[in-house]
Amino acid sequence: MIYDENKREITLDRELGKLDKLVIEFVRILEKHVEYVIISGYVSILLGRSRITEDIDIFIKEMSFEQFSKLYQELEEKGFWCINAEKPESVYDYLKTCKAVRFALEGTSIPNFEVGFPKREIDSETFGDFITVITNDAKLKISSLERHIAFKRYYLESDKDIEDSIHIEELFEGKIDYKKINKLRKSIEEIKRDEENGD
Amino acid sequence: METKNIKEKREFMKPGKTNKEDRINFVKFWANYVKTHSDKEWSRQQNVLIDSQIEHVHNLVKKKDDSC
Repeated sequence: MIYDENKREITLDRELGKLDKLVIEFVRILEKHVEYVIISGYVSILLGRSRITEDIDIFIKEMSFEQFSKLYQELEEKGFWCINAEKPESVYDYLKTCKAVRFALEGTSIPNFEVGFPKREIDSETFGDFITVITNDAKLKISSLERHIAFKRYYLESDKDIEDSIHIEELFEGKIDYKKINKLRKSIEEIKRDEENGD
Repeated sequence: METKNIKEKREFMKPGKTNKEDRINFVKFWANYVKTHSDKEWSRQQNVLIDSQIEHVHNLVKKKDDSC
């Protein structure tokens, strides 16, 4: 695994598993219609963390209903279904009201892809703060390591999330910008305060 | 000869005093494994764990379909 911080690229020569192949299949459809960034657990898993997951979290840029309909149609044609609603109008309504929607392979519910528009400014920033993982013949956009660590450590905070963070910190020791993490931490703490106050 | 080489390369994990500490020690141990072994080697082991979950789900769906 080679991480080039300047190019913001990780080159991986991994053996692709069933989950990786499914993610690549889904992302290849997604990227034809909209910008995306993979966030949270699968970022750690793609980079070697030894755990399973039921979902792959993905931010997509806000899009019009017409654009979304085309994406939805292609997902259906390629064998995916939406767990939350049948009609694209209803699925789009969920997205527009800041709710994430889940897609899985027809006949299954896990693993699924939890897809959402960014809710807050800090989420939107992810589209300008991603790195590209090049593995086999695929390219996957994932959130920056610092953003990944900050959200896991200071927003999500469960044992699993802390362990996901430790994996990345150990693996990329010496290549992580802790000043950036601390800056993100401050924004996250503000968000948490607002959420506690019901804002 | 090969077993001898594997044994010489072995690194050991310190057991934790609590379950939580033990888990964290393993996460660090595994991250070090990923760092010091080829991508093919660690991903082959990781896929055994993850693929088995997916296969299990797909088998359940197949069983359900067969019983309909």
